Amino acid sequence: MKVNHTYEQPLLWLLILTLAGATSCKKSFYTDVNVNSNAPTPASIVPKVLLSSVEGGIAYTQGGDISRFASINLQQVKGVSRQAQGYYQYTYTSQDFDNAWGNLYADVLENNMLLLQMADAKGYHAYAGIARILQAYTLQIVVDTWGSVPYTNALQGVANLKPAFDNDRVLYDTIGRLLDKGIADLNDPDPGLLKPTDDDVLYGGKAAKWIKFAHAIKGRLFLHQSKGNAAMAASALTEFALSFTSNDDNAQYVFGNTETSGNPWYQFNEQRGDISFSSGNVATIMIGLKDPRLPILIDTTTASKNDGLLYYGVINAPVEFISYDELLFATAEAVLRNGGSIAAAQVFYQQAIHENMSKLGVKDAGITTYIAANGTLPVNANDAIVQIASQEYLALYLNPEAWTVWRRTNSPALTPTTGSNIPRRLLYPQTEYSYNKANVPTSVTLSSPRIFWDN
Amino acid sequence: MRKFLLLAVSCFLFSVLTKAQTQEVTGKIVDSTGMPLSGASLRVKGIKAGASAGPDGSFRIRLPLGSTVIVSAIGYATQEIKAVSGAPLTITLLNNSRIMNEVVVTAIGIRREKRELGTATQTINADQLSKSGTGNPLSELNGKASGLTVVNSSGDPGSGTYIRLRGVTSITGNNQPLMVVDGVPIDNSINNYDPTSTGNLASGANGNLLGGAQPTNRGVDLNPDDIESVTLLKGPAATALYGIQAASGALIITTKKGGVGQGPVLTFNSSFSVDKVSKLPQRQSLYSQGNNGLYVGPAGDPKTNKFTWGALIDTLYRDGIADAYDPNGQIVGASDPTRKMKAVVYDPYKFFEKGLIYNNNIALSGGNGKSAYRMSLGNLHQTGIVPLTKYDKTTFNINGQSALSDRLSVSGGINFIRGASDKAQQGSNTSGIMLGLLRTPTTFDNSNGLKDPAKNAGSYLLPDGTNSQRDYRGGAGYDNPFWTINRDPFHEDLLRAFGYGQASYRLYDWMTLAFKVGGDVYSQNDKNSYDIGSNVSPAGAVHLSNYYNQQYNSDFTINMKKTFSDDLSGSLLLGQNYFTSNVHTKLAHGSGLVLPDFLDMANATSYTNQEFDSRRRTSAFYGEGHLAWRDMLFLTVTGRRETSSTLPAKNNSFFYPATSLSYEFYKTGGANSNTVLSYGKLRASFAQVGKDAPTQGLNTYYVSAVVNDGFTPGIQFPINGNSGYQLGSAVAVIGNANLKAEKTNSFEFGTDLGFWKNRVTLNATLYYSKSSDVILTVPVAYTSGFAAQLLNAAVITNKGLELTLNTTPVNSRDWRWDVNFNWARNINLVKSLATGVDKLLIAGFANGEVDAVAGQPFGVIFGSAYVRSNPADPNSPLLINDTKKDPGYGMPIVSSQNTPLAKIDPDWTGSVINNLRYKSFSLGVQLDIRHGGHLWNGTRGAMSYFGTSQETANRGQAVTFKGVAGHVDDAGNIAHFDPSGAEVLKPGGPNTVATKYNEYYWQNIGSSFIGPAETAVEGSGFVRIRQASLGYQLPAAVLKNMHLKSLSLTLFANNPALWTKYKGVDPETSLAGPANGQGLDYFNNPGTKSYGIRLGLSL
Repeated sequence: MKVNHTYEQPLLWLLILTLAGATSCKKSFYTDVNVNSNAPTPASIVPKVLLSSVEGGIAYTQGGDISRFASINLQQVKGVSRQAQGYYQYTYTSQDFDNAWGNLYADVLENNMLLLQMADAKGYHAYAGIARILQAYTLQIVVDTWGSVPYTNALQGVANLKPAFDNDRVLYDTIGRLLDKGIADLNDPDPGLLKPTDDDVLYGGKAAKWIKFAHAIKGRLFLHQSKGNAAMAASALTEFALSFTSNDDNAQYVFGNTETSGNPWYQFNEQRGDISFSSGNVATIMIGLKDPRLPILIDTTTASKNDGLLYYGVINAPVEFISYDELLFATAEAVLRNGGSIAAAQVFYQQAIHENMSKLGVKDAGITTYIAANGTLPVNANDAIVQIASQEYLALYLNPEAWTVWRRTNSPALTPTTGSNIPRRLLYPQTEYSYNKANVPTSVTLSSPRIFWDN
Repeated sequence: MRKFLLLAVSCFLFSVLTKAQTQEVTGKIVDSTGMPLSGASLRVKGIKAGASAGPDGSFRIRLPLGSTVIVSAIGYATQEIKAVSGAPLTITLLNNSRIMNEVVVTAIGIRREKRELGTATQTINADQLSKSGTGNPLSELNGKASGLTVVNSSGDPGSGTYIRLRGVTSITGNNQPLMVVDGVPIDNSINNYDPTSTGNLASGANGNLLGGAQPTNRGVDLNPDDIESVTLLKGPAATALYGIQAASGALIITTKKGGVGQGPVLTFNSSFSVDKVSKLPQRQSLYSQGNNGLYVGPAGDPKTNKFTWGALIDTLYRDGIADAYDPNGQIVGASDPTRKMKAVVYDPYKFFEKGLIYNNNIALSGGNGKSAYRMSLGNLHQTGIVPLTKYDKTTFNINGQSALSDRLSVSGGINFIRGASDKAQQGSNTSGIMLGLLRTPTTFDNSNGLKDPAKNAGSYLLPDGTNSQRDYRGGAGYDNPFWTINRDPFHEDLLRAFGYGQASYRLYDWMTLAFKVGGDVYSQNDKNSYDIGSNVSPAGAVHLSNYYNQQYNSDFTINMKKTFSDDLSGSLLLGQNYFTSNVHTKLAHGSGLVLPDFLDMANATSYTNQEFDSRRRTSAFYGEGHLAWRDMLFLTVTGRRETSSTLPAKNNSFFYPATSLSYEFYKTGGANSNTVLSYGKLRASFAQVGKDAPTQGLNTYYVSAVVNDGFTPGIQFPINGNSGYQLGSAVAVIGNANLKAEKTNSFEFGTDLGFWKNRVTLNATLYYSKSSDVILTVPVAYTSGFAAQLLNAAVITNKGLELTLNTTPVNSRDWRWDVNFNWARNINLVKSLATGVDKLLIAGFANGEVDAVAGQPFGVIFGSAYVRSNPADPNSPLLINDTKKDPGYGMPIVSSQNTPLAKIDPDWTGSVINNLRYKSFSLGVQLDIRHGGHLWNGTRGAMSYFGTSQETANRGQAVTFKGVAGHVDDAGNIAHFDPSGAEVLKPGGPNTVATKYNEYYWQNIGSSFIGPAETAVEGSGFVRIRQASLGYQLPAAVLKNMHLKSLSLTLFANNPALWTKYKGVDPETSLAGPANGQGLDYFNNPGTKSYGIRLGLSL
């Protein structure tokens, strides 16, 4: 056969060479296309974007899942349908706690740890201090809810996917150290090159306020352990004295006005509406006491879709971490546990009610009338603590600390909705049983083991 | 690899270039219609000489005078002719009609006779592809081949169709086959954003798509009227040349082309059909809205008016004073003096309408001696069974081919597609159609007694002028479906173009070079809005989604063939492939609308936006050697070395081989042979195929922060001007820089047998495949700071048997009857997931999941069950609660532990396709069978909780549950109370406690809403008539007078009959759409059955 090779053979070789050339492409020909161009590089991350997400994360989780579990267990509110109805009767499964646990560890503690490490490495002392205080606060919520939990070996990503659990009492010391170091960081004359401003929704970067907040948390730690331990109570008093001096100092996260930045209770009521506030125990007690806070907190007049949550249920409602009135109640209790006089405690007790009411916008006349009726403590210290706690049950409406107060004081007296025990802790989440089986304690129920300070 | 390629090419070059002292013969090879047979080959008997025909069929060959030339072409009977020089010869080859000589297009456009293949393939031709009038090319395939799974997600216009060949091989990746149109891969993605989803799994093949609107997979865009054939390459051996993209098999789609040398033909196909709801869950019609046997109306307490646990309707009256909720006024009791008329039961299912489908296609095709063309225009216009839903698809296709010289030929084609659909909200979505509809109490009329409620706002708005929603709960809970279709619209727009261009050059008679480039580009724009007052977004929201997808593909191939001797011939294909895809997604969300009934971004008061880019690039060298010995033994060896951008540089290149053998052990001499067995072939193959990783899986990335929980959508940054980012999160996946390619090894054995002159043919295929190092996101403990990690971990096996039996019981001049059977069984096993991980969520709800569970088939319904008296034995009697103070005394007990409950995939599937022809009449009936398999019917569970399901009509009826008395004590042990009331740590005797089916039972024990998932598990098997058609073709004599080429009229029906025990909607349903998480039914929109008429005309 005859083929004209004059142009065909060169063409063939050209094609083959082109083809061969295509194989010798650089590595970057492949690897460059596999990067996520919608994500910032780690080098471009600055502390403020981490602080924002951490503060929002704590507030949303505390005000969401944790607040719901605590206030339902405590009967401050009543679960009336679907899951909330089940929770109200303590039909919890481990799976119910995956969300809260995941948010606290992965959304909050992990990113705050990254913030802390970055701030330390770059000498951003102001950020380092705030990060330590927020870590301490979050860890305290976790310990008060679940007791012994992972921390020392946690938050290390792939380096340790199955972190061991730390003893809860030891973790309280860890929290204390975090706070001490945080205060020291904030007292450093050099705040560092980058300083928090508006990204700090809690305090706008004001170091003095953060230091007061740190003392408030420390005070909580001591008070929780002060039952029958005057020294702890004394330490709590020392910390409280260094802490908030008015409601302006309150540690709280104020949510936004938009659907994607709204308060968790607002979102829950919009989406679910399974919880009744008007038929909860707080509404019942406040009706009995003719409490002037009732119309501010709960609308009991209409069977509205959101069942009446007012102050804490609006879209931009704050989630309070620690407020001045809580510290005053706590001080009153600490005074008594430290052997102080009823009269001395009563001053703080009355002031606590006053500050709580004025925070909510109750008129002075109403406050005066209420204190006249409810502001006198019984002469016996234990009875006095019971009465303080019963008022805290109202003042700390929807705040998970109320559950802690109740667990320490058993006040007010509550009747379990089913069975014979009101939950004294939450179950470990299913994900820990599934993916960290070797470490997670077994035989955990809603009643035991209790948190170390719950005795 | 480079060296090997060069060497191979050069070897071929030098070995064949031997010249003999000969004379030249020229001519042309054509088929019986005169069409040139490009690529037909000529071989001189006895010597090593040959040639092949050019694109126009012409050839030129040198040979000794008087020698015999063997002329052959794929699909045609081989001819031997004596060569004479002189005038150019015209050699006509006759179409080989034997079934086994069917030509199929395999990978990379290789055309080969089926008998030469060592792998299982099945081809579905044009006449089987536009029977339903739905314009959906994927659902047209249903039941027409063995080993093929097709699930239409719902009957909504433009909804998706899940398709799968054989079993699942990937846990979290794509399991749908690669779609290749005219040699170029096209996109079959699911692009979907579910605004009601609270997780970040809002889209993708593994998306947890539980709400929103029914997603579409883009494979449904093709116009079935443009398709000539679809070949299913089922196993890895058949698709090995396509590599990773075809790891789950491939659909090789060939479009219709014009005929070279044929005059213009104008074809017009038109069909019209009417859709109706195929099947709906049954509702009770005895009891009213309310709770505890008391009526509570729309204006009543929202805590109790959500239920239909009210009074017997027979005891209720209306006061006749029209109000906002009912034209006949409020419901009152029998003793009320204002009572006027008896209360009646309303039928919520009147909501559904007749859907209409108009499908029109016009095509012009033809050609001259060197070229051919075809262009077509198609339009599908469909209105749905849900009012106001519709789908409109217009497709334009043009293709052509031309022989520019006797060596160079070019071809190309392009498709333009415009689609637009209005879809309905569905699923787990408080604005979902079925969720609102099925929870509507018997005594509430969503339509408010209006004639045209879908278009009359009086049905869904309160008359007070506040734009407040009129629904059975006084605005709370769930949307009135008429509100949903008017005020929560979902609109999708699509503009798409895909096509190819190819040039091939016959360098030598034995060598052809070809280069083909193809692309597929589309933009999909979705708008999903919720008006102020919708239950999904009470403040109102607008979500815009834009998906801009591009993918390009090129193949350079060198085709060589050589005849070594009379007994041995072979071919070698060498190729290089380059593929790139670029997906850009933009999501814009506006919330907090100001003005009602104005669903526009500008009406929002806050905004969030997201962008996602995903790019992928692969290149590969591949080769296929094919040897034919004595025209009866065929060996194919392929190999492909692939480099993928999704893997780390150190692991990004991998090689995988495949080989197959076909042995025709029995061929009868001709059609007159009288033996029973007329054909026999054995085939075997082994293949390995790799699969790369998901894009961007190597690193862990900071993302804009989102914090949410299981009940609320949560917060998204930026908030109040502050950006927030997170590395760890409750959904964050730790990247893995050590990923390597997944590998699947597969073996396949099969036989193709023909009996009685091939009037009966049987194809049987046995296969086994094992996928290892399967990449999946393995959950980790949150205490690590993350949610999951990407790992090469799982091992999955599939084994199965596929049978196809084609018979022609009757074949005479006037009568022909074909009955074809397909049957397939696939046994899938997830052997292992990852160390310490025994289950993985694919899709679903906390107590109704579809999971991958180690040691079980992929797709297991996982949830809570009843407590058995022996926890180790699921068949032991139920434990019946003997705790007197419990409200569930005398009833079964629900376990707090979730367990695997049932598998989703069927045991086997089959179809029987009947085609009967009498003269000009034809009757076709296709019967499909699915045996075994399960669905999670969460719809019924919720309906029973709310009191609307048929099963709750038994309220008040006495019952003594079968089982043994007992309970679970505080420590979790099984115990019972003995007659003295003492607790004994073992189950008691048979239960004798009589109780009643009551509200407590149906809410907590007997249904899955908060009770056990076990009660929602239902068999999803069915027998159905998929299609039936009666056609008439005008006889040729009549046509001639009318100057027509053909004219036909067909009456057809889709899904006209369905037999199933499934209690929900049509058991072919999928909440998550065409994604991996099949098997869930939670207020899925219903399927359809349709009746229509089709006209076909060509001139």
